[in-house]
Amino acid sequence: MRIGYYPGCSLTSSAREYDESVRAVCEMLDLTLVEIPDWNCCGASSAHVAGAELALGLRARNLALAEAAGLDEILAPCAACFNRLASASVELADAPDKRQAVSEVIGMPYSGKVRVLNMLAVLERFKDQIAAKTEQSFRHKVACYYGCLLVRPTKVAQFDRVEDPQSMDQIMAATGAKPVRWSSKTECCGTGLSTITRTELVANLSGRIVADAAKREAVAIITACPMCQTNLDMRRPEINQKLQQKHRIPVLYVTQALGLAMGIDPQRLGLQRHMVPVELPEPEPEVVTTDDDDDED
Amino acid sequence: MPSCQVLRLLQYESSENDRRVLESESIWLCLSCDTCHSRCPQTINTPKVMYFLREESVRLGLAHPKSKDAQAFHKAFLGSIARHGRLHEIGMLMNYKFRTGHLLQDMTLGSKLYQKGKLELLPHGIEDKAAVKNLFKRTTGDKE
Amino acid sequence: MSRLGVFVCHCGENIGATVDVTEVAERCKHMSGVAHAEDYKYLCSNPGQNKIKQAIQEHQLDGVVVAACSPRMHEPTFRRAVSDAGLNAYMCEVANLREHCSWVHQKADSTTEKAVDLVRLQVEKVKRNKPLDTIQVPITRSALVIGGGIAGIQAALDIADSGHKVILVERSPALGGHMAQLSETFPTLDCSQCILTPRMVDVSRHPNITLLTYSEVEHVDGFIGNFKVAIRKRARMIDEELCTGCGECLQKCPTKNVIDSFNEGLSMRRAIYVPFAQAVPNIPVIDTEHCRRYQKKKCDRCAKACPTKAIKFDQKDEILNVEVGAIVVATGYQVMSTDRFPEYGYGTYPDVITGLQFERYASASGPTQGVIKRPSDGKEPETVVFLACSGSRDAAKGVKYCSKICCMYTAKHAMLLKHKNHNAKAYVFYMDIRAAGKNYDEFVRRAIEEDGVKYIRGRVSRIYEEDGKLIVKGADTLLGGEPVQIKADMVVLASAALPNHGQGELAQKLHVGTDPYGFVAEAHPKLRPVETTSAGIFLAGACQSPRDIPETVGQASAAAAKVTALLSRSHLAREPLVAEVNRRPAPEYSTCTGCLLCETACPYQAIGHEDIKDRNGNVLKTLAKINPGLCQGCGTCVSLCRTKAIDLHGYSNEQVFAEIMSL
Repeated sequence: MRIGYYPGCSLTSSAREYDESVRAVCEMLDLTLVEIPDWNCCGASSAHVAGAELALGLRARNLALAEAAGLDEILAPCAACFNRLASASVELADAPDKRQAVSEVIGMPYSGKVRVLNMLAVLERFKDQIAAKTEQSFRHKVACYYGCLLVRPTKVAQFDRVEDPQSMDQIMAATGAKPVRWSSKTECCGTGLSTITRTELVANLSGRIVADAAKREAVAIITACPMCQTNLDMRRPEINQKLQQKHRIPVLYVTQALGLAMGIDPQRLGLQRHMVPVELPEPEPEVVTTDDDDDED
Repeated sequence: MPSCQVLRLLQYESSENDRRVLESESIWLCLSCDTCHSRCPQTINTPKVMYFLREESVRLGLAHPKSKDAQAFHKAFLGSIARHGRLHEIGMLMNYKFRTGHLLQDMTLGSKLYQKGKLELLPHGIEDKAAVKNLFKRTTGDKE
Repeated sequence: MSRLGVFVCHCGENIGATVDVTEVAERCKHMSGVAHAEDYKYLCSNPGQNKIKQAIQEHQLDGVVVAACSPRMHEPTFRRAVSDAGLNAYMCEVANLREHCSWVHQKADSTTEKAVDLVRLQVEKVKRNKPLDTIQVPITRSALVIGGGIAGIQAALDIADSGHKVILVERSPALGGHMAQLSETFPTLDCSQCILTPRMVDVSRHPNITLLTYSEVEHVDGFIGNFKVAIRKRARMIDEELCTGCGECLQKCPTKNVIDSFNEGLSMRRAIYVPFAQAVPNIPVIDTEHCRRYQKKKCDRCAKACPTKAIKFDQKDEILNVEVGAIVVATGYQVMSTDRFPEYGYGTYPDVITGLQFERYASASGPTQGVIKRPSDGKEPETVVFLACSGSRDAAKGVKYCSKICCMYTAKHAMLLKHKNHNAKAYVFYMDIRAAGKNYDEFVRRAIEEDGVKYIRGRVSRIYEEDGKLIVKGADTLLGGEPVQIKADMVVLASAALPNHGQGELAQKLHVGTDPYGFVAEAHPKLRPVETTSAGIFLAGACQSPRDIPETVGQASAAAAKVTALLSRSHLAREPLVAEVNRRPAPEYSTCTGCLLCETACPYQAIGHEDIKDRNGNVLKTLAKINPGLCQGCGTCVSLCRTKAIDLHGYSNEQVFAEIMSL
């Protein structure tokens, strides 16, 4: 199987380990990633300041490039890129007039057919394979953290339960993990802009999420968004200072967690790049129940 | 001023109230997390409203002084992609810090990031830089 | 050659200000077939009508066109005047100069020109009008009431008291509906069951009422005055004649874990049960979905316990065929369930409950005997948050409309909580307080001022669980949108009132219209509020839209009054504007070929077929036959007929073509 791949800017630098782990896990799942040739930045939240036209143009160029390369589905692992590209894809799908206008702006045709998928939507298709490829059962309590951009706007992201999404929990459960029930799944961490311009705000918002995960006794926070990872991981000193705590709970990309379960070398998954060291305790003992058919080696 | 008051003021359709909104700091606080939009009984797309208001506020020169940092960030960000087609984080951050004068902020963090291999010193631009330049030219009337 | 009269009305300024009425009358005088034309300030007034009558006699007119307002307004008035003057009423037509011309155009020559055209159309039509007589239909003088809540109970009692027979059909095993579930009622705080029970007993004892509980309407045929209804009387597995209601059987049933829907899922009941202690009729039902006997396990403990041998395990559903002249729909509502609220936990938090569940806790006959407890651990909650407009006025995730009853019952709930537990704290999040009604606003003020209920104007954006508490996050818009966070023990959603389940299917069976939300539609929102879009079918209560008890009872009595007015006559006069299959001399008999496409197309099931036979009874030809009692004159069959064999009286093809050709 092959799918279009839009890494986005952060996966080439500050979220490099996300890119590394996505590629490693997709390789294990026999999913070929075809990088969109010459893709450009999605514009993030900044493009809008210079106008909606520019914002739509930057996104549409990537869609048009994907289409030109014969790709009808593209994976955007970064939640922000996904949010922007998927919104543009939906906005242009049923609006020939807008497509016409944007085609002139980007100087390329676009027929409106490219679908944008986030990391979870793609992994969901491979749930069985993930379970099959799991080498060392990931029997840890984990807090699956979706953040806001991944699940919204509701119409674009199409999660069945927007306020209590399930797909990441199910994907993690396929490796033997025990996702905790918690309430901060879709709370906002402070996003990318404020991580630089308003650090105190991030410490406040992200602090609540870290504290909630710790309270539910999760040993790791699992995420699929570079900004969430950055805020929860890189801003940990500020968070701990704000909370007057010493939370050491690591923040893993969902693909890193899957990679570990599949037995991929931690170096290849970029775990060494984290600010909060990834030190997981011994997996929890297997609970034997009557209808448990987990095969232990 | 919370977002409900921003919208309330706009509902008056009066130039004085519009001005109060455009001059406010509120419109720069939105993180576009879309939570309000997904829970609003009237499906108001508040982030989109805020985007528009920011654009207007900059255009009319009414932007709140405290928006300076955010504007500097956006300018640095856009400048980076206008030049390279992609974001070059170090270049963007340097640009931002230069614009705002927050030169010492996050200095130690930066070096840590570099050690972890998370920062690229040189920009990885796209090949068809002209395409993106043209895109900027057509939509914003030649900025950056 | 016709001798027609044309009468043009000024309607004061309504027509006169934009149309040159005198000019219209003058021009009409020169139309062929017109013997007389005049204009007048208000033709609908008595002097105006007299002018028409005088002119008919003076000029020996044989047809009349009145150019005035919409025929929906005054066509009956003018037809009566024409009839008084000795002409057939259907020789009068109305040209609509007000809604179709003067109200929608500016004053101009072309406006007057259009008015003349509108009159000309009707002149050409009336020339081809034929005298018609009203249709007399006999009436079956009994009524069917569907739904045994307070609306159905009231309607049935009123109709029965006026001397007509009533069949009252209720889907559940007992009468009472939602009112039987309520604790105390606003604004007087009197006990709901105490005022309802006597009414239920009245129904069961009334000689004119046949009560069919555990029964549903299966099929409806016929038309106003003559409905044929099939009712499915579901098997309760109990012989109703033998059962004395002693309750011995209930104690012996070993299945004790069936969710009790009367208690809104807050308790368990047995497989053989009576919904509540005061149930009418006091006859149990065996729930065959849960009874062991029907799950291939042997059990007859209830039968063994029954002193009168009333338990009949092999009882079958019965279909009862009844004939009635009128039907009242009183099928009520249901509330939106807690799993419809994403940000309030999708129903996963047991202590987030609906208002109806709170009623059961507050009710003396409820699962906790009137002590307010919370479902998760049975503790008495100290802090309770009430959320008004849960799902109501929420176009995105709920319904657009206001559910109307929530403001009042939420105030009542908060008040009851404070009355039962003086130390409890009650918070109400609201968007607006809508307390219009006698003593209603006073009631809400009492909750706020005397009972100290804290009202917070704002919505709640999120509820989540933390350390055994529900964290309610909202905003106070009166403090400029300041965030508010309350640690609550229980949250009560005033969840939206929705059309009852099964409402859509029933509406289809009855051929009554529904509104976009699925509530039964009234024939006219202001002037015919208790009539449906189908003649002879009336409505009462919350099946039309959410409403409280006083309004429901008032509406039920109004519907009953309509029913008794209908049943007080032996025959019903109907407008003769119905379709008819043409007849021709033998051997053609009719241009109808008997293809009967029209039969399937008729939305009112008014078309059947008839056989033309010779003297020996041999069928010569089969023709479509239209029942004039059922036909509503919609014309669907006319446009569908391939041999042009059907025509609509009053709107014949000839008339319509002549109208068009005159332009």
